[in-house]
Amino acid sequence: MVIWWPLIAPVAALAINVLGQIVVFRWQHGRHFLRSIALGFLLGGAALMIAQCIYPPGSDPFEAWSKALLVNLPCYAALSYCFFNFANLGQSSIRVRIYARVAARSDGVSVSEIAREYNEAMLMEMRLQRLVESGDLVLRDGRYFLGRKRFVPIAKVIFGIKRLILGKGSEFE
Amino acid sequence: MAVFLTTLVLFLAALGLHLIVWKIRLPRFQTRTLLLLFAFGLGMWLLTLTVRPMPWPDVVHVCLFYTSLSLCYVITYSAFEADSPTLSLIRHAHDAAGQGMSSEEVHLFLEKRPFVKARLAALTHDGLVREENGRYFAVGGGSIFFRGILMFRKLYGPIQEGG
Repeated sequence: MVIWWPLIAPVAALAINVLGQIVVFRWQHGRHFLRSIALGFLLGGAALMIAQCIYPPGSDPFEAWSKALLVNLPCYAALSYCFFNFANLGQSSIRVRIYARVAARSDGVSVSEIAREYNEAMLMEMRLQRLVESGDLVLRDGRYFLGRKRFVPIAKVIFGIKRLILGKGSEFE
Repeated sequence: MAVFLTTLVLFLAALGLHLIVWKIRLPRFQTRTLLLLFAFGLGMWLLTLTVRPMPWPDVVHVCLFYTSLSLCYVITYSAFEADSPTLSLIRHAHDAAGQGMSSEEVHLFLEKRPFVKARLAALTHDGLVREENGRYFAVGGGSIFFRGILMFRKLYGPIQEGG
């Protein structure tokens, strides 16, 4: 058990994270998704820390702490990141929503039905409104200006990496 | 330390291989190829264990750490593969800087980027849906990944609109 404990710890922490997130999200009646994700992550993280203290991995202190800090902590963070994206896809991904809609109907879904439900113009308006409300865009004299710059570095990094890997900055180029 | 260093070297090697393959030719099914590539890297490393053995718990630990890092990268890669409407707009607003964008300019910018159509095309391309006489049908039972997302979503109950 002690030998396998370092391996079990991040997986068990992830299980606590997932369970915690579901319970918190349901308890809040499906509101505050991101908050429930953060709470689940903290719960799992606390469980991981406790697990590391109960059974320190390995007898050599250096080996024990290198495993705990260099392997199990990033491993738990990586697994939690995967879980966040998995859960988030079901919440907000257009692709998953369209697929769910198509898969639910044996007679198929017409293009016009999809266009009606996922109206590009409507989604665009919702997005614009959300960005204005959050202060990321500012509407002044009928023109949109960049407001908060929090997304700019993220956008720059992602477009830079796209150029490096795919050789183009956008899927529409 | 051995688990950490082995995973790091293995992951960086797989990442390097991925960049080389992508520079030679962009695969048709990028996510699938990426997953295969990472699995190939792990398989190759497991083969080397016959020459340089490692304790079993450490081997499994490397596999877990490497798999979690690889999945992290594959998930992040999807953000490179498909554009985010929000980030595209922010970047456009940043480029427009002091001049700003009129409502027409914003609409024109987004019209050139039909995100819903692109997602539908991606679903068709990945073989998850097929188009027949203007209607879309799910192909077979769908992928395990998509079914997993839909099943997991049920645990949450009803979801809000958005995209």
